[in-house]
Amino acid sequence: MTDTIAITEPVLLILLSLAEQPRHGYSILKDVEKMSERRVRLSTGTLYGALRRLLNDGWITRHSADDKSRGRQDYRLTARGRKVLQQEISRLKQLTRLAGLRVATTEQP
Amino acid sequence: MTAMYRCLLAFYPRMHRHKFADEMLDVFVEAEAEARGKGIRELTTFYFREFTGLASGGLREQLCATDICERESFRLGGIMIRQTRCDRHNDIGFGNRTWHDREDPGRIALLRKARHWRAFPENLDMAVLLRTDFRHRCGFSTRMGCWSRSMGDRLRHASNRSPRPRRFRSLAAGASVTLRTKDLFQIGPQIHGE
Repeated sequence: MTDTIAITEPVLLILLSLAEQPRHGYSILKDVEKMSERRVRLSTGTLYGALRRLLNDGWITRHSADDKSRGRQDYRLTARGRKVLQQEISRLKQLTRLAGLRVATTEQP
Repeated sequence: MTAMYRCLLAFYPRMHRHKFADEMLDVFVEAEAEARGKGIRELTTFYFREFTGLASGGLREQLCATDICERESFRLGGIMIRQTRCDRHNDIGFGNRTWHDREDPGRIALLRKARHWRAFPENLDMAVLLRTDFRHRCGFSTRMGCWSRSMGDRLRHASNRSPRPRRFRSLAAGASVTLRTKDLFQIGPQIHGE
């Protein structure tokens, strides 16, 4: 299986949300909104499109939630998804470090 | 607005709807209730975001669905099975495919396309393929029925989706191979008995 999903900001935020604990759809929406300080507000269409792709690539799994009365489904990060997330975070750290260095160099008189 | 949302969901590919539509609707209703409590401006923004997101998401899923006709092969007993899984087609994963028996090249099997997957019973966990001998007649074919497990290893015929018994007369002597399906779309091979 190849890593086919582009890790856009919404996808990254969804993965981060699930890294903490399994969540259902609405909980993911709220958590993404909170994490991004209301900058990223996903629509259900965007959310479930991303979830479908993540499920297809095996980055997350889907289970019946404990709260069965509402027929909710929980989404959980798989080991593979966590690995991808860690790699992405490392990449972002490196990029941030490089950006910091470049900006510092530019600002010198 | 919920009715409109439900209508727009119809633009999504069938498989996406089957899997996510109820959940999406639940989330929409929950988020709508919250937005309503925050005032008219928040509610308007919410509707705009949801409906544009739904329209673009539906379009994207339709475009993606054309690319995800997955074909894979696996070995089932002596038969090499080619399986197709596609979001856009109505079948449950079996197209009209010829299945060649590698151990006995004289045998060839064709699994009929399973039409109207939505009509399959909820408790479907078995699909039975009866294969026949290529040499019997030119109209060789196979038939698939829906089966559910009852009383240990005995199978109870739940529903027969092959409405043309004449075409399958030669199948009486055919060996059977059982495919266990965890759900309608994920098919894992298991030999049940021949």
